[in-house]
Amino acid sequence: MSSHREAPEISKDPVADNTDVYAFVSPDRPDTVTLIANFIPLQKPDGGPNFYEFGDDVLYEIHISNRGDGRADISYQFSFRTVVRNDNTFLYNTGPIKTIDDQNWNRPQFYSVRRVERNGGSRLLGDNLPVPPVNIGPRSTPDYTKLAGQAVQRIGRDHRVFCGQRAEGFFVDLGSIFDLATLRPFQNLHLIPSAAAVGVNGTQGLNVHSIVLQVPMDQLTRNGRAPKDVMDPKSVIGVWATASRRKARIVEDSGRLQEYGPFRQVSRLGNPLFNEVLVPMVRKDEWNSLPPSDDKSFAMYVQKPELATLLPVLYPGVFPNLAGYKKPRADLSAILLTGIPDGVVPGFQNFTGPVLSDMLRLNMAVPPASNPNPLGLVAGDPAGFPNGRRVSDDVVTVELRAVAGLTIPLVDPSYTPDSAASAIKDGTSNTNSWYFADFPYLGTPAGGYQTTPGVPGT
Amino acid sequence: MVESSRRKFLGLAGAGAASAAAAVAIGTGAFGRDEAEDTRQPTIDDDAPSSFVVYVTDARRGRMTVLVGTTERTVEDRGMAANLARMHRA
Repeated sequence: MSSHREAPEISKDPVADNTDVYAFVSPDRPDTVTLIANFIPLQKPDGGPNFYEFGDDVLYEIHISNRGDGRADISYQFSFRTVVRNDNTFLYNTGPIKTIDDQNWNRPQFYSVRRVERNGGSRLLGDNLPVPPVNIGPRSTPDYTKLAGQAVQRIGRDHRVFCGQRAEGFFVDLGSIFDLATLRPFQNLHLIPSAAAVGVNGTQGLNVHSIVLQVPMDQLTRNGRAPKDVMDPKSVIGVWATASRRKARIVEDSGRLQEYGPFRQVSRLGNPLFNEVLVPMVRKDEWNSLPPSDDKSFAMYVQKPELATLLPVLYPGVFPNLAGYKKPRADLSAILLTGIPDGVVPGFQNFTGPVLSDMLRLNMAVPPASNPNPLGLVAGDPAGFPNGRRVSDDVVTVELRAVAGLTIPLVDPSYTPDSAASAIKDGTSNTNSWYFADFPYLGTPAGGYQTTPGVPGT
Repeated sequence: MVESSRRKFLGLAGAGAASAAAAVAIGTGAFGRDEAEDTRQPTIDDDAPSSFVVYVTDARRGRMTVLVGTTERTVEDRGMAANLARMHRA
C-alpha cells in the first residue's frame, strides 16, 4: 500500500499510522496549495460501536521545507480532544446526528491547528474546531455529505481546514501485489502463472481519516511571494507528514493510561511507497522516527531497489534490460530524494538541492491541469505526481513503471527500457466515492449501514 | 543535555509526592552510606507534578531520563541508579 501498515511497529498503532500524503495546487483556487495527510488505514465502515477517530494522544503534523534541506521550515500541528456527553450509555449516538453540534452525538471530537516556523514563531490558527462524526448509516448520520461539510472551517489568513473521515482515495491491488508481486493483468507472465485478469481494488469500500489543509502559496514560500516561474528554485516546496506519541506510557492498575515526556515521531510519509517498498524491514521503524534530512543512509535502497531485482526473477524474460542494468538508479534518486533538476524534463524542475531527503516535492508555479492525467509527469502532465501528488494520481502504476526502468533514460540516455516497463500496472482504479472537484477533494466516506461486507475467497 | 548534579535531579523531579519512592527515600538515607550523608529533606515545590517518570537508560553509568509533563531531561547519578536497582530487588 502507499504507507498503510508499512512498518512492523506502526502496523500495531493504526491511529498514528500515516497512509497517504497529497500536495497539489488547488484546481479551484490556484493561488493556494492543498495539503492532505491521511491516517488510520483500512477502516471498515461498520466498525462500531467505538468508531474510528483521531488520537487525542497523538500529535499530527504536516511539514513544509522551502529551503531544500529536508528540515521543516513550517509545520502545521493538529491536536485532538474528545468529549463524552453522556457517560451512561455505550452508544456513539443516542439519536440521529443532523448537525455537527447535535447533542445526540455522544462522542464529538475537536481539534486545534498551530503553525510553527523554524525561526521559532508559533501561532494558534484555530481551536475547538469540530470533527464530523463518521458515516454510520441513514438513521444515525442522515445526509452525511452535508453534515461533514459543516466541518470545513476557515482559519488563519485564508486557510481552509477539514479533519475527519473520508473515502479512501488510494487504490491498489493489495491481494495480488503481496502475493509474490503478482500483477493480475500480467500474471500469465508470472513465474507461477495463471490466466490474466482484471485488477481488484483492495481498498474498495474502506475509509480513512484525513487532515486537509489549504494554504495560500505566499504563506509557504521562503520569500513570502506566490511563485510564478517554474524554473525558480523558490517555487519548490517539500512536503511530508508525521505522527508522534509521548515518550513514555504507563498503564495504571485502574487501566487508565498516563503519558509522559515530549512527543517522539512514530510515523512519517512523503513519497508514496517509499518506506513500504524500498526500505528493508529491519530499518522501517527507524525510518519512521527520522526527519527527511537524515535519509542519506537510506539512499542505497533507492539506488539499488529490491523490487527492480525481483521483477526480472518473478517475470522471467520480461525485463531483460532491467536485469542487466547495474548502475545506481539516479532516476529514482532524482524523483524521490532530490527532486528532478533543470534539464531532465524540458521546462520543468522540482529540484530542492543535493540533500537526499524523501519529500513530496511540489513546484507550485506549475498551474493545475485542465485535463489531469493520472500518470502525471511521466505522461506529460507536470501538475501531477511526482510533482506533488493529486488525489486521483495513479501512484502505484507510476512507481511500478519507474522501478521497472521507464525513467532511467531521463538520466541515462544509453538505456533502452523493456517494453513491459511502459505497460505494467496493477489494473486498479478508484472504486470508492469519486473525488470532489473542490475542498476537501477526497470523497464522502462509505457508510456503515450501506456497505456490504466482502465475500471470503478460498 | 546531561546533568550530573543530584541536586539538579531532585530539582527536576520537583521532589514531588510521586518521587517519594525514589528521591525522598534517598534523601532519608534509607539506601546506602552515600545517601545517609545527605540528611537534608528535599524541598517539595507546590507546583511539582503529582507523577512523573524516571527512565534509567544506563544503570552502570547512572544515566537517567526524567520525564515531567511534555519535557525530558537527562541526568547522571550513579548512586541514585544503584539505589533504585537495590530497591527493585528489595
